Formats: sequence, C-alpha cells, structure tokens
Amino acid sequence: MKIDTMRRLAAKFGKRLDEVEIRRHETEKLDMSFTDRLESVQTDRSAGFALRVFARGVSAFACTDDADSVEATLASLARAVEAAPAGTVRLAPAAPIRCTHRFRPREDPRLVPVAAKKRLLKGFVRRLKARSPHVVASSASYHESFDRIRLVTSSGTVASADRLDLYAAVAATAHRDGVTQLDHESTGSSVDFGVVRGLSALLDGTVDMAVALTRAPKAEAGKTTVILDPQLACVFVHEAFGHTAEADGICDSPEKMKIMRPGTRFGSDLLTIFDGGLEAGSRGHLPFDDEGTPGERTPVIDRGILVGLLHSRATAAAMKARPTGSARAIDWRNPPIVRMRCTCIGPGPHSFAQMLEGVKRGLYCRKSVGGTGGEAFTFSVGHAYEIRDGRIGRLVRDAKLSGNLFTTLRKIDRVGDDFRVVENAGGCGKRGQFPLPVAYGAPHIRIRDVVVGGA
Amino acid sequence: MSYHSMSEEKPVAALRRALAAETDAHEIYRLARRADSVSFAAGRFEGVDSARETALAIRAVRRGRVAFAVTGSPGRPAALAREIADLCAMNERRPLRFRSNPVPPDEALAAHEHPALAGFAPADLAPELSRIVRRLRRAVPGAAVGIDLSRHEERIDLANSAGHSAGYLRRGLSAALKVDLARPGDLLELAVAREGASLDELDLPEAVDALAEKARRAARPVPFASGRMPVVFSPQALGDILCALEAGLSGMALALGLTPLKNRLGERIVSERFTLLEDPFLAGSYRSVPFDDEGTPVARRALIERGVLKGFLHTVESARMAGGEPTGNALRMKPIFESRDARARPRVSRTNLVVPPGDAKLDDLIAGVKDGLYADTVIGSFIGNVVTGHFSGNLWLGFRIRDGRLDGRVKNALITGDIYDILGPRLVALSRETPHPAEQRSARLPWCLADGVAVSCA
Repeated sequence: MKIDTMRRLAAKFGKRLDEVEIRRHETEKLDMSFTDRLESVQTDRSAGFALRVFARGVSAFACTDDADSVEATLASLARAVEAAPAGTVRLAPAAPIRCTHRFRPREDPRLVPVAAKKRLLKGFVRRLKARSPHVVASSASYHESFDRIRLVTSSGTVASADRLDLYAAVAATAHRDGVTQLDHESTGSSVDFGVVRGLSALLDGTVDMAVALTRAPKAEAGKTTVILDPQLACVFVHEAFGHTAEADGICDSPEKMKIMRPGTRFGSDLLTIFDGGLEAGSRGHLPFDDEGTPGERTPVIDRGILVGLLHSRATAAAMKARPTGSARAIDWRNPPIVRMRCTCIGPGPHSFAQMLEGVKRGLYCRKSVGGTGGEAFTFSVGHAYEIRDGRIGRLVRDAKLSGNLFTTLRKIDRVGDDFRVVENAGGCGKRGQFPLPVAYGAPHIRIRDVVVGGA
Repeated sequence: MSYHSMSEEKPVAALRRALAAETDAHEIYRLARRADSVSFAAGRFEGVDSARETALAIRAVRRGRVAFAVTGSPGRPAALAREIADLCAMNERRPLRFRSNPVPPDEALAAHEHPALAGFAPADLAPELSRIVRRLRRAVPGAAVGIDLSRHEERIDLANSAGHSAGYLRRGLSAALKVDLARPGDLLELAVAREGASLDELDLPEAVDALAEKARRAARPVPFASGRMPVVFSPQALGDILCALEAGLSGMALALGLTPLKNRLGERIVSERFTLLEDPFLAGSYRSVPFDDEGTPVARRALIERGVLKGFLHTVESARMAGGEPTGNALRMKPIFESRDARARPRVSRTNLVVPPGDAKLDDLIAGVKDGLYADTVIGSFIGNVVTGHFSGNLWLGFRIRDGRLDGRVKNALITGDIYDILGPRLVALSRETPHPAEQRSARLPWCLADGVAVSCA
C-alpha cells in the first residue's frame, strides 16, 4: 500500500475520530544458531499494518497482514470506539513530523553472504570447544532484522524509517567435578556487522571464565556492599528504575503519581539517570517513535531527584507532561507502549580504586544474565569476586542480587568516571512484546547493603 | 467437526508442489491466530484490541541439510521454495526425518474448539466487566484496578512430505484482574489470572474476592530476617521454581550432557512424596494439544513417580541425539510469555504438569510452622543457570508465618535453592487442596511445605 493511500485513509477516518494511526511494518529477519552438535539458519519475512484509533476517550487497535482489508478494519475500529462507553484516554498534542530516516550502515550485514556469517560463527564454536577439555558445550548465535516502517497519522505525520538491528552472542559451558557453569559474551549494533567479528577477541576469556567458575565457591548469601561493572550496572538501572519510569505503569494510579512526582528524591547527588536513543549505531537508536514523536535524551533523575518519566502521548496527557518519544511497538502485531531506548546512569567522579576504598567485605560483580523489575527488582550476576579489606579476592559463582526501588538507589555511594555504552544480545520484554532492541550505558557503581542470594 | 486439510487449499497445495520439486522432504506448520480483547484501567474502560495473523513455518531437507523459513503468505511458491532450497545448502547435514504420525480422532482434534466462543466478542461484555471493576474497587478501597479479558482463537495445521496431515482449532478465554496499591515507600501490584472456555468458568466474582483477600493480607509489611526456614509455597510459587526441574527434564539438556539427571533414569531424584505427571489433555489449558508441533502423538505419563525419574521431554531432534523416542514435547512457544509463535522453532516444552495432591490440609501446613514464610508469588526463578537445578527467585508476594498464622507481608526477599534439595530431603508435605480450577491451568499443583529453605532479606 502506498503512502498516499495511507494518508487518504488516515484523513478519511480522521474526520470522525480524534486520531488515526496507520503503521506499515515490514520485517526481514535472519537467525542463525550453532553449537558443536546442532545448527540452524532461519529466515522470517512478514509485513502488516498496525491500526489504532482514538475517540471519545477510548482507543482501539487492530493489526492485519492483508492490505486489502485495512480500510474495512479501520471502519470496524471506528464503529467500536463510537459504540463503546466513553472513556478517559486522551492524547497529548504532538507536532506532526515529516521525516525520512535513511539507513547508513558502517558494514551492511545484508552484503555479507550467509555462508560467510556461518563460517564465522562456526569458527567461534570450534575455538570455544577446543580451548579446554572441560568445555561440554559451546554455542554462537546471530540475529539480524531489517525493518521498513511507514507511519501516517490523521494529524499530519508522515514518517519513514529503515532500521537495522543485529546482535550476536557466544557461550561456553564447562563441567568439572559435578559442577556446571557457563560464561558468555555478546554484542550488537544498528549499523555495523563488524562488531560480530569483534567477538573473536573475547572467546578465550569466555572459556577460561566458565572453567574457572566450576572451581569457584558459591557466593555467600546475605547483605553486603557490591561494586557493579558497567555491564551489570546497565541491567541494574534498566530493572531498578527504567521500568518504573515508564509512565504507563504509573498514570492509572493517583497514588503512584504522587509517589513518582517530579521533585522526589530517589538517590544521592551522585546519581543521574537518563534514557538516550540519539546515538546512531546503537541498538537503542530511535529517530522517532511509533506515534511519530521525535526521539530525544530524556532526563529521568538528576542529582538524585526525579525530573521526568518516559511518556507516550496518552500517558503524557494523563500526567500533564509532554511525550518523550518512548512509544514503541515491537512489530505490526502490537500497539505502541511505553518502552526504554538506551537507559543510562551518567558518569560520576570516582576511580575504580576509590570504589574499593573502605570496603571491608563486599562483592565485585560482573556481567549479567538478566533481571526482573518492580518495586523489588532482581538481577543475576555472571560472576563475582569477593572484596576483602579493599582488595579484589577470590572468584565466586551463582550470585543473584536483589534491591528495592525506594532504598537501593539511595545506597549508591560511588559512581565511576568510566561510563560506557553497552550493546548486548537479546532485548527487553513487556506485555508480551519481546525482545525489543534496547541499549544501556553506565560506569562502575558501588552500592551498600544489597541483598545477595547465593549459598 | 471433520478435519479439513490445509493441503486442499490451492495456495498451500502449490507451495507443497514447489517444495516437493526443490527439496527432498518438507514440513509446513501454519498458525492462524485471532485475538480480541477489552481492557479497563484505573477503573475505567480503556479500549479494545484485535489481532489477526497467519504465519507459515517451513522446515525442509535437501541432500540431508535442513532449512527453516517463516513467511506470512505462500504467494510466489516457486520462488519461496527455491530460496528454501538455497538455505538448505547453508546448513550442515542433519538427519531430520519427518514422520507420518497417527492422527488423533476427530473428537480429540475438536476437544478445545468450544463452539460457543465462535462469535464471542469481549467488547460486548464491557457493561458486565464494568460491574466487575466496580465490585473490585469496593473490595479494595484506594486501589487502581483493572481488568483485561481476551478471547483467543488459533487454528494450527501441520503437513509433511511423509504423509502427515492434521489440524485443530482451539478457542479460549483469559482474564487478568489487577490491583495497584501505592503508598509512600510501598508499591503493591497484585493480579489474578484465569483461563477457561466460558465466563462462568473464569468465575470473575470469585477472582475479585481472592484478590481482595490478598490485598487485605498484604496491607501491612513486617520486618523479616534472613535465614533457613520452613517455607509454604503456593501453587503459583511452586510453579515458578519448578522451572529448574523442567530444565533438568529437557531432552535437549540430556542430549547435550548438561542435566544433572543424566544417567539417572529409574533412580530416586527427589522425595517419594513427589510425583510429577504430564497430561496434554487437560481441559481449559493453553498448553493442551492433540499432537505436538511436529505431529508427534502425545500421551499422559509420569515424569517422576514417587520420587523416581521415569522420563524426559523430547522433540524428534533431542530424541535422536539422546538415543530415544520423541515424546510429543515439541512446541513453538514464544520465550518468556505464554503464547504460541510460528516463528519459534519447535523446542523442548512441556504440555501440562500435574502434581497429585498430598494428604495434609493447607491450614495444618501453615499452623505447623512456628517461624517461616508463605511464598504466594515468586518471579525470575528462570533466570540464571537453572539447568543445574539451582534457582534464585524474587519474592513478589509473601507473608510471614509466625506461630502458625500469616502475619504480615514480607518484602525484599530472595528465595534461593536447589530444586532437587527442596523437593528432596527438604520436602515436608503437599496439601490436599488445589487452587481454583481456572487458575494455573497448565500446572495443577498443590501447596508445598519445605523446610530449611534459604531466604535472604534486605
């Protein structure tokens, strides 16, 4: 369906409705995964229309892969909102945009033959397995997705974007004396296949860590001071505050709106949190969101004080704020909901040596396997080192950290001067939309009194 | 309903002819989904959603090499088949053989059709749901309340070059009632989820009462000390930590040598009080299937019987690698979220799990605990190296047990353990009660008391 047809339909139905969105989303994906015993190469092509209308305080969403049924579906949605009981959904005004975001690759993965990708990944698997006799399984996986998005709204937005998302991951599982442990590395980009080749430099370290973990004792359970490396600090900020800052989890509760009111202190003066997405090349790069709001750097916490949240047009209207370009849909089958882009803890003044100072007993935690958000959040640690009397000590395994929104952020007492953006494999999950490409950034941080689940 | 083969449809027939010309063997899995939902948030009508999608997932073998592809439409079959043949050349040799499996009788295929749901439109229920929302607001004063009601319909068809051709239609309803209670320093988000084939089965008024009771109990946070202690796991919490056991029962984990259950078939692995059954036919469960997503027949069976390991969960591939037979445990499930996805390759997945209840009354289980924890909801246990049996889950909702009574909400706690230890020497008893039939449809579990469980608290 051509853009002009989309515009005509949006205008036609926009005459009787408050807002009409027509989003065409076409995706071509390639997924490859290899172990030493299995491999698969899978392609996926789909295209469809996400249709959303608003009227009388009610929204209605439908998706279809049949271009010929778009108009009838819009008519059906219009009837649905006109017949429904009046609601209270409103949309904050947003200036329409006319925008074409072109894809500017550094190394376009579509120009790298599948056979070459396969050779690269299989080479990773062989090297991982060959590194140590204790490796019982090794794997390498790769994902690329090329999306063509065309968005038209009845309020005048006409926007197009061609977007790439790619990531790759390697993992080694070691087994020794009845103990099985794994380590992994991953990378991602929205412009450059070259980052996948960069994994080559990390393979030996992956195996060595997996093997070392089989001999490591379990982390002691309890409450302790932890230092998080940037990769783990990224997951921390995503789970500890990122999801909480998504306004669609707040705007339906007057009490939550009071608690999450700008001006409320959540951390020390050292703490700054923002959601980026303007960095070309990042998996979290978003020139405009799926409602047509331009992307931006959204401040969330500034020197410990809440200054903003992540908003769609509906949540912005509900909370008398402005949309922040945070309405994202993973594909045409789903409506946009409030999501993160590139959530970051800003840099601080402390060196790593300063992080260790004064820590009598603690844990230096590195890498993440994932986490969950909420008032009580949790994240699994890839591996950790004990800290004793300000010095890094022995390696330990199976640590999981837990914290609380209202207390843990206040216990961040060191923020490092070594900020970096982290691009990992996978993505974020919310309301069935998984995995959404996101990125993160953070320096090392130190937190007191964190609950550790371990032995 | 008599079964109508998708291969009789011209576009699919054309695709199959093209695949037969370009490859040596093929399988087409088609998932056609319709989902309609209505939602209320903050006690007010919010909107309606409607989703329609059809996806075809193709596996093909050419000269011993296997390719996978997914498409929304079989249009341009010759070009698609050539592309898939080229994709085969990219893969290593892999002895995947499609089977012509026995097709279940029509009544088995029709078991989950629920014809009464054919014309069901959740939006038509807005007035009734509005009454439920008002009831929930009265039951939990001061809370932001919401409800989502969905009707889903999936038509699954599977055909392969070995002659297998079968399909089935499944319809169902699901509802989630939510309560958000926020106070300074305390955010409490509670939910009750129900599945069924009718509104009566969902029993939403009872769900309101259950949610209100949880909110009432959870009103008062209490201090709690870390340690090892008796823990009563609700069916929901038990279901969450069972992910570590499911990972160990995976036939792929067995084939790759990753499971601690390797070489332990026929041995006692947990307490003799514990039996774990798989039942693919349970009414009302999303995971009930007449055959798996590779066409392999399914059957009720014991995975663990009185503590003794009886079997693993296998796909065609994991069975070949491990030297066994497929067990009907290949499903195309979206990761993390409970829904089917044609874009997901068939992976080892359980259908429905059942732990037969024990003899103890739930009230007696709790009354027998002097100082311990009632874990109502645990989240995140699946994250980490769970194939080893080790898990660590966040206590989303839990209550202190003191002198045999639930005595206030416990916050900021992690439950950590080894599932074979928790269900082994630490298992004390299983309740005779089971939850409401519309809850936990795919995991019918009792309450479980285990002793000496590690709980870490802030």
